[in-house]
Amino acid sequence: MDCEKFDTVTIDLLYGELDELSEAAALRHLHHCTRCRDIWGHIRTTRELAEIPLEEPPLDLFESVILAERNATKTLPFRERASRAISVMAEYAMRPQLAMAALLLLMIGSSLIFVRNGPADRGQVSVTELGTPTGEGMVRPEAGKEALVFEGDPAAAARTPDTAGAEERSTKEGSPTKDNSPGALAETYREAMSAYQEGRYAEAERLFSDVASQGDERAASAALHEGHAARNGSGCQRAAALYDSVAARFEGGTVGDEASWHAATCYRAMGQLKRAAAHYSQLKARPAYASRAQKALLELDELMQVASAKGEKSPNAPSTEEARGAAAATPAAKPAAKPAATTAPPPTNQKTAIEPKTESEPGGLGL
Amino acid sequence: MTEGHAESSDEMLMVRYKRGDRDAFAELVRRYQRPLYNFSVRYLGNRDAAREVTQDAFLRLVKCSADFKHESRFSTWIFSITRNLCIDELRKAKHRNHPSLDTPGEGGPSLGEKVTAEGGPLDGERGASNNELRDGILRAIDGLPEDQREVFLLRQMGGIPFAEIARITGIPENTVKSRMRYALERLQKELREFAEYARALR
Repeated sequence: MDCEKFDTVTIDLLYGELDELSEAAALRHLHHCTRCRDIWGHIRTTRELAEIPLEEPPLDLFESVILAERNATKTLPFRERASRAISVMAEYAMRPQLAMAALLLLMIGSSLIFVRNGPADRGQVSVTELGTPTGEGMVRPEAGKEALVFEGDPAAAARTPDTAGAEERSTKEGSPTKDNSPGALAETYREAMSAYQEGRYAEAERLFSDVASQGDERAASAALHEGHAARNGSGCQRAAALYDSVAARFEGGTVGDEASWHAATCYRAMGQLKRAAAHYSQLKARPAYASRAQKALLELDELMQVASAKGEKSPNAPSTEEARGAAAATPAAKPAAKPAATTAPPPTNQKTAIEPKTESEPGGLGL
Repeated sequence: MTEGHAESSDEMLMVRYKRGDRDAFAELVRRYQRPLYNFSVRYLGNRDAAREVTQDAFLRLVKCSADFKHESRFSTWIFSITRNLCIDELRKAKHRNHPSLDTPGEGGPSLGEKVTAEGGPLDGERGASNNELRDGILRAIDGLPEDQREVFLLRQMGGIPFAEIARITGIPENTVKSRMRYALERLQKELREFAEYARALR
């Protein structure tokens, strides 16, 4: 820094408004420049001299100002007062305590809504292994909606609320008080048929079930119609299990064969070709169904071949070999206590065990 | 006054006052009444007028508080208000043929001298030499041309940086610094006789 430059920064240096680098340069210049050092000494002394102590303001000035401020704020224009009020409110609104309090109130308020409604009148609900809700005060789902259905368990699937309710009634309250006289059963059967014809399948299914469980001469027809009502009301998933049960119960009879045919139709519709083939194979031996069953088996075989050719092996479409193997098995020859699960192999009996061997068996001849 | 106010910056106090905190305003008055009053006294050369101007400056602050921006320096803002009020007061005084520091009365002491005399000794412990020094300094300051005195007072009493003074007065910053330098050189000449005494006091 030279003298000319120093002159331009003297005032800044005097009042500490120079940046650090410039200040250091100015001080270095002062260190070896007598002229600037003299100038600097004089001006610095003058500045220090000029720093006179300030005299005290009048004692009443403070009070006067505060009083004047109060008077002035009384007459502040609306705009000023509004902006001040907004500022005050904004300050409070921005405080975290207020936000927390608001959140707490919101939580309490929302929980009160639920508390006011009270706990649901449900009592204790327990779920049995079969998926049928039991227990006091149990609330049954609305009709038409499925309750707890275990996937892959046609028996459980069959126990949707309507049938579950029917079973519950029949086991808990039906037997001791129900009129089991032939006349009463005939009336029930008539009501069931009437409900079935009018499309009230849930009711029809329940009434048919009541009649079927009594074992009189209408039982077979009622059981078959129970399956029909289930199929029309809820679909093949439930109906197939019921048909299986009827086919096993009335095996060898007209109703048993009819139930077996409908079961096959349901399984075919559901894509469970293996099960369908098993029913058709059994019906081949019945004169009334032989030709139809044979034709259905050929169709099934074609379907399986197409599926194999495409290499599509859907979960419900077994290979040809599997289908043939399944065809060797008879469906639900001996009814189990509960209908078999979807994923379980179809039930077999002694008779079918010695039927023509499948290709999967060593040395088997196949169909 | 709360402890928080004592530690708060001027700008924060102003923001609080805008929100309705009157204690913040009181704290601002405590901090600035003295420098503003002294600035006005030196600017106007009249204690009564300085008192009025100081009070008016705070009232202007109250009325214009909504215009204050937090980014601005409060000291710059309030000194700017006070300076404008002083200019107005000087104009009125001229219309009233009111004497000012720049128009010393004929045959009598100047207003500056009168102010110095009215002020009396600031500190009883100081001796006569101190009073003499102070009187001499005040006379020298009062004797500065108005443009230089304005810059000098804003920097020396208000502690306003040169850039801010340039903004307040509406003149370039280099001009502000030049005026400050001229003022100091002028004071240096006036106070030469006190320089040795000042060095001895140091």
